[in-house]
Amino acid sequence: MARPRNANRRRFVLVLVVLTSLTLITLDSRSGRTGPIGIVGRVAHAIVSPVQRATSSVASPIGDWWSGVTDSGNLKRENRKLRAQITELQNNQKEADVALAQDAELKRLLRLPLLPSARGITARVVDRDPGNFESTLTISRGQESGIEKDMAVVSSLGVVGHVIDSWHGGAKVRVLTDPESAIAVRTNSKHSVTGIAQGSLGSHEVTVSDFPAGAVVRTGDTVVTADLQNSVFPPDLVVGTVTSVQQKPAGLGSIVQIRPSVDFDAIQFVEVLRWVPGQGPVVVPTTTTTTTTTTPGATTTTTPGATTTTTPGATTSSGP
Amino acid sequence: MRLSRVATLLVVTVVLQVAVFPHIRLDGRVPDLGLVVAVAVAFDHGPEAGALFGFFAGVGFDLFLETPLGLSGLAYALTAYTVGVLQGGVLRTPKWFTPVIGALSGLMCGLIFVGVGLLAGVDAVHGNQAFVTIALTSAYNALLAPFVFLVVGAWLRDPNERIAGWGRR
Repeated sequence: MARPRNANRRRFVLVLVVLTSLTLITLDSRSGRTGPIGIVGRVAHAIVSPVQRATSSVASPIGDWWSGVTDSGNLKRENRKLRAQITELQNNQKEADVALAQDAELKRLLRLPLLPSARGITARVVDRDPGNFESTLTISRGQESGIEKDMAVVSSLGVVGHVIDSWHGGAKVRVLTDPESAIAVRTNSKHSVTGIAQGSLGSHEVTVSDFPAGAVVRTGDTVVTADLQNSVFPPDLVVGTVTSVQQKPAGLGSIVQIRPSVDFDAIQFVEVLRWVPGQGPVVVPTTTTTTTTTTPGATTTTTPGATTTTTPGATTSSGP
Repeated sequence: MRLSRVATLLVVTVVLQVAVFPHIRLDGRVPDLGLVVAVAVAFDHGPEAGALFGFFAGVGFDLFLETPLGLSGLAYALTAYTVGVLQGGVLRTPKWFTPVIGALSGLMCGLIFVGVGLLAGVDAVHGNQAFVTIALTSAYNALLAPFVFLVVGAWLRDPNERIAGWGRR
């Protein structure tokens, strides 16, 4: 009777495993990573984070070597292309500086929120997406640094993505090329148009398929974040460059491919912006201290931030 | 097969998959290390052992992914179970066949993952790129399989002990 008993036990184990898996999938799909499942996930991340940081410093050079071996054919070509781009960018730098200064001045006059006033939290990239069906980064700072879900993440080259989860010691960032990523963008040209840029599996580019019919979009146009209310991202951050424009049939618009300005495979440091959708940068309140030395009978008028010495015989009053 | 050794293997597998292999990619893809280890367990210790190990390894991996919790667990468990059944009941495969087992397991696991993922409403598995990802991941699994089978076989081999119900063949 051993063989039927073995077969029954095997079926029992299989059914148990399948039912448990389906239950977990259902619970997670309905509630997301909230409740007990979310807590377990954050605890797991918090436990593994030190290992990720430790292995990152060792594994990154190995990974770079491996990438060099598998991609060596393209490296020299890319190197020459990048050197030419650097020369061109250096020449354009002065014009850009003038434009930026004018832009900041205009925004101050119009009392629009300035990006430089949004305080950022710098973090190191310690891990990349562990799965094959997502594009995420794990960074070295999390809740202990004030990083919360939906905060925008940028680098010196442009938009990286936004925070989708954070725990003590780390956070996960969904980058632009993730299939679940969608960001409002506009073309930075004379006839600017707005659309939604979406990532897709296995692609290093994002796609905009809802530019209006008749929109003038050209290869090489720079694309920046759009100024929409409640957008996660501050406006006018560089997203990337248009690489191809394909017209839809019957003149229904165009499908535009955009190469992000950030290389998500090579990025080392990011900045998490304290930017509140719809309100602008989070301003950290400053405090002023007032020091007053009073002796009996003296008259003193105190203003914030000042140090006052009072002589005897006077009365004291304090300003706001 | 001692439980402490199984537990250690499980933890090491998940940590390696989450912390090390994201840095060592093949055309941007990471291997299904948990799957290959589960298949190795099933190969040596039977379908139940493989299914249970695959389930826990998959769920452990799912904690670090954005796809639904349990999806990898289901895919790993079913694949390891199938390999265990075929290995014991139908096919007697030599050890040198492990790369083929690794590749075929990867294909089966990937198809289960994508199929159940589509039913669960996972947007990331839509499109033809998912099948390219499955193929490349299977190739990576095939490269790892011989080494993994060797390590798992050595780590879990204990001819003097058996866990009740997980008999050695």
